[in-house]
Amino acid sequence: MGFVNRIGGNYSRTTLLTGLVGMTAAVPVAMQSQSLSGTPTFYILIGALASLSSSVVLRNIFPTPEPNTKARELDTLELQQEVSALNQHAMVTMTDSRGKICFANQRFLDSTGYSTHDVIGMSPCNFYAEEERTTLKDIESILGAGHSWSGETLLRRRDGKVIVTQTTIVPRIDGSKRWVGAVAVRTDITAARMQQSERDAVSSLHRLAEPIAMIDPETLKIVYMNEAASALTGWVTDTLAAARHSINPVDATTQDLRRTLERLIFGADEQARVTLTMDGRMFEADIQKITSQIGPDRLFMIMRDVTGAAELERVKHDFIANVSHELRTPLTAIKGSLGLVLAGVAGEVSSKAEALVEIAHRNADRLVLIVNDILDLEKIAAGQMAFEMERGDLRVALDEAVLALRSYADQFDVSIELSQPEEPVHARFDSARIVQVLTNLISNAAKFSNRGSEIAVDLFSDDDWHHVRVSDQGAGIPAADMPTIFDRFSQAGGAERRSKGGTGLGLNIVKAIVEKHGGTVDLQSTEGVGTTIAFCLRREDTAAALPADPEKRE
Amino acid sequence: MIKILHVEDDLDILEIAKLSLEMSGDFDVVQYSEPEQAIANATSVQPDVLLLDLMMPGMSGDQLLLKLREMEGMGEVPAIFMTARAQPQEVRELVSKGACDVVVKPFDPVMLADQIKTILSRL
Repeated sequence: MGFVNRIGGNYSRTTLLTGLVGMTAAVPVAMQSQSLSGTPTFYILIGALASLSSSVVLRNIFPTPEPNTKARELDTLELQQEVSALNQHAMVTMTDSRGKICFANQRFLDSTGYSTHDVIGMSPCNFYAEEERTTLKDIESILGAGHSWSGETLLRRRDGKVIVTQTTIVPRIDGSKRWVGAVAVRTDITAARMQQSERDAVSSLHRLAEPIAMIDPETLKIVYMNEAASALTGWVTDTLAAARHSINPVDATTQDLRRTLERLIFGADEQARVTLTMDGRMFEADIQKITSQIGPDRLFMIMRDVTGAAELERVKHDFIANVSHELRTPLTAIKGSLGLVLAGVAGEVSSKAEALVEIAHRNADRLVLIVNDILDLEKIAAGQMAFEMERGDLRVALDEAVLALRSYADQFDVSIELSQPEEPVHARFDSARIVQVLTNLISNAAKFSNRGSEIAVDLFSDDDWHHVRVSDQGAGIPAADMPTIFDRFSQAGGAERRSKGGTGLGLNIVKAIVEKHGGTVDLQSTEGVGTTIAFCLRREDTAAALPADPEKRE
Repeated sequence: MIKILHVEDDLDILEIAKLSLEMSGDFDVVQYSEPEQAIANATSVQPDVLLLDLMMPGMSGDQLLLKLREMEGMGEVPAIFMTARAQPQEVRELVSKGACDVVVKPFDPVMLADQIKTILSRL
């Protein structure tokens, strides 16, 4: 008993203090029961034990005159048993006249994770959780007035976790009525609190209309589902206990869910969305991590049955794909007929008739573009657009797009200036799709440029990304149109600009394609000055880790 | 003259393709709107090139090509599929089924003849 030896000089009789630290043998069974915690009987007992502790200490410090030997032995035995019971049940600390801890029993050390060496000489304030500042002041003032204090306190363990204790602190007053410290007796009621908290959570969730499940971070199993979740999934959740034993759907789902849960448990993220497929049905689940000061983290999962919605979405995609496809046959006939008339196959036509046929032909072209764009967007949305990602030189794609568009730009009396590094610019991309993006951006820039102006196409790089920037000196995009410019069928400036052709889907496709490459699109525009649209692609050295098929990344 | 065997279920497109190809003066165009007719007559037509619509009711263009390939004298005739916009991997798949290229619908009637001649010149 090193501690007793160290402080032995302060006390005339150290044997009882030794008992406080070490005696654990004769403990009544009822005292070991956790179920006592939190009951009125329990608090009465704690009060009695606090008084007992106080009397033990006081009897150590101010020994009463010794009675006859037999009576003294009985008294000592009784006292030893009482102290043993106290040590079994409660965390006991004593402070000296400087307010520093001069004693802590084993239960206190076990509960807080500290050693005797750590705690001796420390201020008890160091153990209190941050939110207990007000309580601390309250305790100091009550003890200072010579009264004892009882209440709940939150203590921070050495590992950072917080425990809830039911505490009684009694001032130590000497014969001259001087303050010489305090003795604190605490019972760890964390487990009871957590159980109560779980019961409260479960009872409040149980009748909510939203289907909610709770996942145990330790086992990754669903340990609770409310009535709505039970009705939605058909899993049995009559009671929490039954749920623990009968439900194990996580094991039946994909690795995606496991990975998502592990990311939430071990990572910084607190929310995630995951799609689960079970028994032929599809559920979309939002998972929220709830961190608790006094217990393990919890994972709550809010579920939605999206089986019908997914099927509807598939039918919609199929319908659009079919309609788009079917539209091409009559369009081929219309465009072909008009093209042949304009080519003179049907003989000479009047200039008025030719002008009208040209209008029809131009609009047939536009309709073809719209159908193609819609089909592209639907393919991207449905994950059916195949991306052939290969390591390549971005300059080749830029050269191809600029070369193809020079004559188009000439129609608008606009020149294209291409500026790019002399060395290869390697990235991982689908060449045809990136040429599609560039064609979209450069043709847009040409259409909306002022006559005689220049389109600047720049390629440059930073540490992680290659950037492609297309700048025009056109009318710019009104500020009011900027937030929706990447939306479907969005065209800035209304009818006048729409008359220049285009489908209103181009920028939406640009954004979708670039995002499938893991990049982003950035837009800057000033009305009357011009527009710059830039997109970035990850450099090959850092993109190497990405899978070849971007669909698999989702 | 290049003898081209064109199979397409849409009569309007048949007409436009005929006008387009004949406009160049380089093509002798033989057309059928039903795959079975093409199978029945292919040997006697002895085409230099096949132009086959891909999506036809009853028999798709690639199924038709398989049948034509089994016929005498048709094993090596260059075949071009005509289809709505195809993704690169779809084109590769068609090439693996024996096509030498794909003409995308809607095609430019003024350019169709040149397009086919370019494809043939690469072979």
